[in-house]
Amino acid sequence: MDLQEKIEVLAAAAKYDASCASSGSDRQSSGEGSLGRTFGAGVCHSWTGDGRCVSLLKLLFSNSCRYDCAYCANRRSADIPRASFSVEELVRLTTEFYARNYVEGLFLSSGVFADPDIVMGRLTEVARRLRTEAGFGGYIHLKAIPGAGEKALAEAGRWADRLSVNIELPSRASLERLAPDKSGTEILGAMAFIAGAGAENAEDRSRLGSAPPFAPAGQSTQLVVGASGEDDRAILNLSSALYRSYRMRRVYYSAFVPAGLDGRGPPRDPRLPDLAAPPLLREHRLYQADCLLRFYRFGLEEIVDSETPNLAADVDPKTAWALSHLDRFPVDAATADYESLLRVPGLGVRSARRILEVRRSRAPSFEVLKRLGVQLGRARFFLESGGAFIDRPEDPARLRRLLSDDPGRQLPLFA
Amino acid sequence: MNAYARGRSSRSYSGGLDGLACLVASCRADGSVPASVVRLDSGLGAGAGSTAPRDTAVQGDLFFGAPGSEAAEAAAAAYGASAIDPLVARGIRLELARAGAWGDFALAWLHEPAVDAVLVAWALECLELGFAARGSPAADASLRAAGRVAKEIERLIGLLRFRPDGEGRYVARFRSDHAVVAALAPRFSARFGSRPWAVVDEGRGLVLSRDPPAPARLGLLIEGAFPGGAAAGEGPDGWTDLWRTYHRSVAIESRANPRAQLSRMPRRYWQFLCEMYDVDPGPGGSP
Repeated sequence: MDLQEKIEVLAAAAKYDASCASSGSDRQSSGEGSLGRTFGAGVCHSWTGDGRCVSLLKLLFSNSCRYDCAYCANRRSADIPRASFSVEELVRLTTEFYARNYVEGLFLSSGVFADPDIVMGRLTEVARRLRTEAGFGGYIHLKAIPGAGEKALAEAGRWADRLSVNIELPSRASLERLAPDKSGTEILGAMAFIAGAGAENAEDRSRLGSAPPFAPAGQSTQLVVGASGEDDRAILNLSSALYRSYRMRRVYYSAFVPAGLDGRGPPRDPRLPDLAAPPLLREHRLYQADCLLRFYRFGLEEIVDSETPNLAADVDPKTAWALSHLDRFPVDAATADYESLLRVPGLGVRSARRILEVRRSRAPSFEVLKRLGVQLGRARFFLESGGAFIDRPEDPARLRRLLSDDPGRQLPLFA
Repeated sequence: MNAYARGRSSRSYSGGLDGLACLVASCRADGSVPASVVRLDSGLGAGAGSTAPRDTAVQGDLFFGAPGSEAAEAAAAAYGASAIDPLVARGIRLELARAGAWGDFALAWLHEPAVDAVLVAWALECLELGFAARGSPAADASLRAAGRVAKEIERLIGLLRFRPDGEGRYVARFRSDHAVVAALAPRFSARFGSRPWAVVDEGRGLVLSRDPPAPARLGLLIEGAFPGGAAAGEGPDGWTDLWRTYHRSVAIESRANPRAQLSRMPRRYWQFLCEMYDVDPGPGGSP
């Protein structure tokens, strides 16, 4: 198989991993022949036909796999062409693509084609050679292979900017049913090691700035949405725990792509649901809810609870919360505190901050609010300014109709 | 909102961004805001009212540390070297930086068409308040202009496509809406490390290049220079072919969303993108 064919197979095999971030690290190569730098903020270098940003060269080292996870395109039982890169090929591809400004770095994962320590070692070898032989200072994201020992994980973190272990499914029961070769304990163990090593390294570096970094962009994970029966509450509960317990920088949600789509089957695995299309709307709502938890100071029980364990399809989670708490509105833009402003649909973190800024010198009239980027089409029902208002939050049913999303709208991958 | 009288006068300045800073100082002393402002010599190349782009060293210093300041400082260094009164210009820059407005001020100055009159009005508001004014018409126009320029810089940082020329220098070509070429210097100097590179602004006839360890330089494009670089309609070579294969292979068919692709990567940039040069944008895909 030539390089062109390998790329075709091993890029397609990696495309269901949603992570594309190249942010959170600040590394510079130096010396003769050096190439590359990471920056705090990531860069999108292109967008594919599905509207997803291309930031990193996302590839599998190999799509041969010992495991037979029902939802995975590369499962052992799938009848697909198998391929592997050599370390040299990946080093060359990364540096050539980087120098041409196609990508910000490398995202390297792999099927588990051998003992986890060996697979982890091969991925790490690519990163090590990029850093030491090619003088590469760009971004490297390595997939941590569950089951790999602490020594192998520590070595991976030495050369990578970010490590990630995919949790894959929202419950241990689903993991046992759909990915029987995988161990939840090993997945969480790898996460715990990365979180611990990262914290220890941060401490070392605060004492001694020259201490080598350990995965300075932290860790992320991904779970498949729609392949198993958990409700949104279970998923968000898990995400909250992952953010809290493992210092996760980001939890990605990936809508399950059913058999028959994108060359995945048939035959359909009887353990999987029979979906006509990937649950993109559900994925989108989960990203929105995730944002509310991380940036808008919402508690999990405010978004989903035992009575309504799933996110609404017709309106975003913040609007759904506002509609069921109309007694909290309208909020006065002229006097409200930051937390109250954050609760207003159509008002984001940035516009809430800008309102506080602008109030230092002028009254935030609706004209001013519009200039600040507030989406008045949505916020008008929940906001007043010094007693002036555009509309009143009186009839929840009417409001819900007015604020529901256009069902025909194509949704972006990330909220 | 401020104490300045809105005048009917037209003012002019030369000396690039620092020249505009001097004009702000002059307006503050006069207590008036000009109705219009004319640039006499911006150094921004064809299409920006320029007469003489300079061969100027461009080193972004991070002294001001405001958001967007890295690109803004690079622009100031490239275009502000011949200010009428450097001390006055520096004073205004420092005051605007303290107010948190310098980065946006400098970025908005790269906007085409120029928005100098509203920039002067906004700068006076900021100087009076001591912080970056928001919500006024001048602030709105200035910040929108700065936002458009920042967005284009961000896009170009990702979308420029480099190819090595015969001397091992990586060269990219582009056409931009705004005069942003010098603002690209800090990013690509860091990215390429010890390797030489050049970016050619075809629309304005300017070239920004760096031969390490010397700083990046902005100069006039000379016919026939920098022959490399991804040019319009250029076909694939070995690596671009691999990139095109990669780009095709990572798209998920069942999530096809050409509208999102087009909104983030507008058609006008496609001519320089080797992965897109023969892709049909489809219905609604016009620029």
